[in-house]
Amino acid sequence: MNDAMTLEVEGLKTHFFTKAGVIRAVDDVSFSLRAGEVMGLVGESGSGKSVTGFSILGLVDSPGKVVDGRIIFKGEDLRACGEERRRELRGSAIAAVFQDPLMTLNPVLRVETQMVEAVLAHAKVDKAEARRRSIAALEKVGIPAAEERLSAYPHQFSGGMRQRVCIAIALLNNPALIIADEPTTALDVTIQAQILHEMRALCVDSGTSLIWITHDLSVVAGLADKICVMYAGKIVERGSVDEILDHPRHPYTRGLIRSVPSRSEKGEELYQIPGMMPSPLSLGEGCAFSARCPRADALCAADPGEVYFGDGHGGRCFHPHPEEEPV
Amino acid sequence: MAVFIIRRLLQSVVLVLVMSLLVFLGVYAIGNPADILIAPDATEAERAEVIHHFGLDQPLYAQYGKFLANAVQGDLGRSFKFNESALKLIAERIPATLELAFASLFLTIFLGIPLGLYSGFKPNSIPSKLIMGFSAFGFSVPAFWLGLMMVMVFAVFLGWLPASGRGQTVNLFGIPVSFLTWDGVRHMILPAFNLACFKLSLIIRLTRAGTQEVIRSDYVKYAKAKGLRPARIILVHVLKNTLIPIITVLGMEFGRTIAFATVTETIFAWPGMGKLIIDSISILDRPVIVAYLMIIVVMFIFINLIVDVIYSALDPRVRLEERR
Amino acid sequence: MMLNAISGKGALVRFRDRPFGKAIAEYCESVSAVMAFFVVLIFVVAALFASIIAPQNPYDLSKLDLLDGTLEPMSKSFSGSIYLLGTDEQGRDMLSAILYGLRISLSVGVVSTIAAFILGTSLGLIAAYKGGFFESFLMRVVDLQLSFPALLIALILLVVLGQGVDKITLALVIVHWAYFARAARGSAMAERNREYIEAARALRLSDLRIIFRHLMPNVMPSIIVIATTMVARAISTEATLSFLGIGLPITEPSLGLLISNGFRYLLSGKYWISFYPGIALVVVIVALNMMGDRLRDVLNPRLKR
Repeated sequence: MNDAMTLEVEGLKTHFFTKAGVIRAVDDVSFSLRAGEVMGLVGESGSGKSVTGFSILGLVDSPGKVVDGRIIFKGEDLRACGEERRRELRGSAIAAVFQDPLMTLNPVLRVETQMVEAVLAHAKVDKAEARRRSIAALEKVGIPAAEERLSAYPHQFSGGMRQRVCIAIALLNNPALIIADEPTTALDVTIQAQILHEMRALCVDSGTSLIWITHDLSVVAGLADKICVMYAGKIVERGSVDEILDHPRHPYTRGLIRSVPSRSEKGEELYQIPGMMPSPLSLGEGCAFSARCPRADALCAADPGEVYFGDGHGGRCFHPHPEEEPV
Repeated sequence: MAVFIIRRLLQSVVLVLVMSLLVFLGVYAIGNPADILIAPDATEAERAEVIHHFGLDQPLYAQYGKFLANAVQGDLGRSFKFNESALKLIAERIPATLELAFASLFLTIFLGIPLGLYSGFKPNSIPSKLIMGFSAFGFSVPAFWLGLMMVMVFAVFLGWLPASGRGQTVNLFGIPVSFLTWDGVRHMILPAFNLACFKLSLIIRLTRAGTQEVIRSDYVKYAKAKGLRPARIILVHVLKNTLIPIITVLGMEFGRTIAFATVTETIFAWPGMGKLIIDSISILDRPVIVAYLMIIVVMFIFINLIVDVIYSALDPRVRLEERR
Repeated sequence: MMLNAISGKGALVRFRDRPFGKAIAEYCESVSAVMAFFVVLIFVVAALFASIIAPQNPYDLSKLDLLDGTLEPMSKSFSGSIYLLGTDEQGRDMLSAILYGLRISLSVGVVSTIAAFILGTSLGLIAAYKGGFFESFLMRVVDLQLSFPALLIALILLVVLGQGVDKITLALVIVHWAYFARAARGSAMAERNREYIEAARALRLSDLRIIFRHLMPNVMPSIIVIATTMVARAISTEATLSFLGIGLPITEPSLGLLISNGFRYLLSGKYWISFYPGIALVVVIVALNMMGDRLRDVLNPRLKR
């Protein structure tokens, strides 16, 4: 166990026990993150990427439960340490930014209240100091006239500003890890680009690790150091951002890259991965993607373990594309 | 905000006038008020005199005009029975009714909201199911029967609490109140609970539903992600959002409570407005009836107005929309 | 529950598969709801046949014996028969009084609800269909009326109208029509823009026909739910008013009046004069409410089409 690792996730399994059956939302996920590293966790809806984020935070609601695996944060096992310790870490060492700030900020409380309480929950300072820190955080994320904006309500901000407020809240207590779940999906494309850029700069400055959860590969292309692609609860391919984008080996990853609109020639039909993600209740033991995969055969009815391609690049496939094959 | 208030105020005044007309017409126009006052064996002359004395020989619109004119000056007629100003009779009894109404409001808030919160957080626990069972009961069963049962159980069979009447009163700013003495409180417990029954059940259900909705909301999840203590999450984030609709409901229900006090006051012989009106109706003491109806209608309309104002003050989204 | 006028008639379909049959089957899945239904049924039958099953006609003065007054339940009468639920101060058998009282309470509740139903639903449907000034005016009136407590309105009406079965029924109708109007208009608003209404209009069917033969059947489910709870409410309100002494006169005693009558004996321990009529009242009301709740659960998902 390397103490230089901020986060190590090993064999994480989170299952939802519903009346209709057991949904294996996260099924044996492992990855690790160094200080200052940015990881993109990419997948469609239902792939289990958000649940992975919640599992690390310890916020999986019933009927879901983390049933197996280890989550080691800076040497501490988050599953074993108890809820009170997890609460201490949340919002201080591990911070979160969620998708729609209009929903995540409490509409009837002022921004000041919501920021100050985040400080006071983790630091023994007085209100005035908490206020000062809040103003500093707002300025850091680029909100003009920070002091006046403190007394405003969430709905008085524009979408991009609101999300910056949430990022400011995440940064308040100098976290070592930020988990961002689709933070720019609800925003305009131009604002998206801005925020991406700013977040990267902030992380590089402070040595904060970042997990950026998204369904959009192109978003993390410019931001991440490494990428994990998830499908039906498993990581089907992982690697550095260059390896993944230039030499994708798993058929699903290839499909994802090919379906990014900017890759198509003008006038050409957009590429779609045929079929749909299988229902989470009907997942068998074999490769979940095989039903949609042009390279599938009888072998794929068994579970392909993770194959190592070299250079930190790996994937779950019996028939990965050869490295030289152009996308 | 000021425009809003003024507009509602004007609407309320118009409403009061309309209601006064309806009430007046209803009570005075239908049936012959003269008949109650005059002994059946009175002579024609005596009849004529009584009619003239009470102004009953005037055309209706004149009577209404006089009624309005008097009303604005605070004279709502004299009781036929007590021969005293109807307004004075009612005013004497308002403190008793209000005391009961506020006691029931107190119970509703400090018992209903915590029970509803608990039930919302742990909906499948046994205490929660019991709470919901009781509230379903209190909601559908006629309140007067519950009152009777309470008297039967607590006063007659168990003998713990008095069955009727108001306890010892003490003067607070010149108004007699009974909650400051132990005897007074003892007398208030059963009627206050009875009056609160329906509201209590309603508030428990609303709070529970509201709590369940709020706990699932994204901002509660976010509050947890910020690492806030559970107590803070409940008291600040959950409560404030749940409270807004509850307060409006409570406000609206308060008006109904005052009207409903008639039943409780009858059962527990509580000397308030409600008891007076029932007695007056049975002996057809019309001035008192009219005065009561007018007062209660005015009270009701203005309570509605105040609730509207409070609601817009509480919910910042509504308030700021108005300002723009 | 699409009782579409164009299809379905004459087709041979099993009862259980027809929409109506499906609703009934789903309703019966809840044991407590079925029990509630039977309880209501028993009470209705008992009330209808009161004159036959009651051991005594409590209003036939010649049969009463003052010496039998205020006897406890299960005590023997002067003539040897057992009074199952005791007697009141005039020697009236409580069981018989309850049966006769049930008859009056139920009939006032049901009749007033039916009348309010017809009046309120029609007005609500017409308002939703016609729209315009009529609709906004009607809805203003409804909102105004509903913002006042029902008891207060009933009080005012009874002061004006006086006592009597017909007058209290009228008062209940006036108080309750607004609930039906609001519900009918709400449901109809969702339906009025549907294609089958447009189709009917294109066929140049008269407005009345469209409203009552096409719009109404689709609005029915939610109104029926409300009607059930309204009956319970009407019974409860009438009982409250009679208890207060401003409802029915002594000559037509409903359960409320029986309870009121027995009130003064409650304090001296002779509880049965109020208690048993009270139980009968509460059981009917709670059973009706349970039926209404279950109906709402059954019929609502279909409305979310």
